[in-house]
Amino acid sequence: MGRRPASFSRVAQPVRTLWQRFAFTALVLAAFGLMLLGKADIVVVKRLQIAAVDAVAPILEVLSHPAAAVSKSVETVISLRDLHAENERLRLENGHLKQWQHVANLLESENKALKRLTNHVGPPPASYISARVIAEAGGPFVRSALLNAGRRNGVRRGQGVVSEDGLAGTIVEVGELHSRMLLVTDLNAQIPVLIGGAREPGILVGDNTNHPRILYLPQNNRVSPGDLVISSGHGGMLPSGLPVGTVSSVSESGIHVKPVVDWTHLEFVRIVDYRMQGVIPGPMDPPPFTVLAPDPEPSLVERLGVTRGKTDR
Amino acid sequence: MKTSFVQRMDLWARHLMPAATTLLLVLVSAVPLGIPGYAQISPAFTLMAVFYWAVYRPDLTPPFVVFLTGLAEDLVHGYPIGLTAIIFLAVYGVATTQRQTFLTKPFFIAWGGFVIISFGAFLLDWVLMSLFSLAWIIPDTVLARFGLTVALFPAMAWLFVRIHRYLVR
Repeated sequence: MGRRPASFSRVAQPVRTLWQRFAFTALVLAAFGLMLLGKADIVVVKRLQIAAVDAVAPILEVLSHPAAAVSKSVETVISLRDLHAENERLRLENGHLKQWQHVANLLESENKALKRLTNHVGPPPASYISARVIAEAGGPFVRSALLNAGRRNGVRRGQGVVSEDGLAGTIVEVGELHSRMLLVTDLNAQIPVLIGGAREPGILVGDNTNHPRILYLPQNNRVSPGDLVISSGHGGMLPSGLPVGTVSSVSESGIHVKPVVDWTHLEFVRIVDYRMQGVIPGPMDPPPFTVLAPDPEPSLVERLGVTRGKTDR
Repeated sequence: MKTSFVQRMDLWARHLMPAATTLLLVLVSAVPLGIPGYAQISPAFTLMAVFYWAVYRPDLTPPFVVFLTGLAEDLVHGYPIGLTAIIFLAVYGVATTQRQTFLTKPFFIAWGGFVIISFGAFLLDWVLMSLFSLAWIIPDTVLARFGLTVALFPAMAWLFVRIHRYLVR
């Protein structure tokens, strides 16, 4: 190391020894402080956090490409091995699906006719934003993934994320260039669902295992293993009818669901832009420069430009 | 002895290597690999790096770097911010106090030390996370992750030794 001028080191030395002595303790305290601040959902902290992830999102995206290429080439080799068997299986399945398509067409036309008859008002149409999974959260505590689409692409908090199989998760955090999706298996994920032919309403609650549970089912429900679980659209966050999973076990300890999504091949996903505004405005959504909580929604009276005092009854 | 500007830059770059590779590991460990169940039990590569450098070159990874690594891990993985920073600082603190016992001994002693210290780290992680989310988190994946981390430590240590040799060359 180069020598520094004596006067500088004379001034810096006491500061440096002081820092060296207390740096460790100070940093541990700072980490605890940050954890508490994070728990309090303070907007500034959240904003800084999102900005920091935004900054590394491009690097993560670059890194995710070679990894995807490697896993794809491995897959290609494996699929080459059982190409013949796969072909036979698909031929068989195609036959079945053709029959199903016929049934579906019949049912669709019947459904349309019945809807016309009863003047049924359908849900608003949804549009989709395609995105790539650029990072998966490692570790046993969180089930989330980073996507390379953000506010700039029209992603908003609360939107659903679907893979080609069905519902994979919901958007919980949105930056300029990235967004974070919470998988349906995460401890904090709660999705309103309908189960089986009887369309029993319930809530799918994740517990960080691969088989989330169903809670808040009505009494005397008729749920059995193998029943299809679809999103109900209650709460206005997600469109109804998205496949979520199938009931894998019904026991004393609860009803468990096997999600339809193939987590291993989660590379491209679509974010459902469903214009229902069902999500409660969180601390990130209100206009900037608020410190703690968003301003309350202006009441109808205030929006019409009439002061409260005058209109008091 | 006067060193030229280029030499000083070279030394500076070498001294940055431990911190830079540790931060890079944060990003690399988040890359989706498409292996079934990998994301949940992916080994804690950064924890290995923090331990290794705390034992062999704590002068190049001061507590501040360890703190930043923890924060970066929290941000990228979406953990409660500050959680991993606490874990890494704890590992760093314990490892630096015990480093004299590891330095003169063969590698498997250091490995044994890593087993004990990382077990403490995973336990602390699990307790803090359970407290933070006020829920009982099933510890089976934590144990699987601990096992994989401990098993892969020699392989990563080999890589760190390469970097270490490059530093002193």
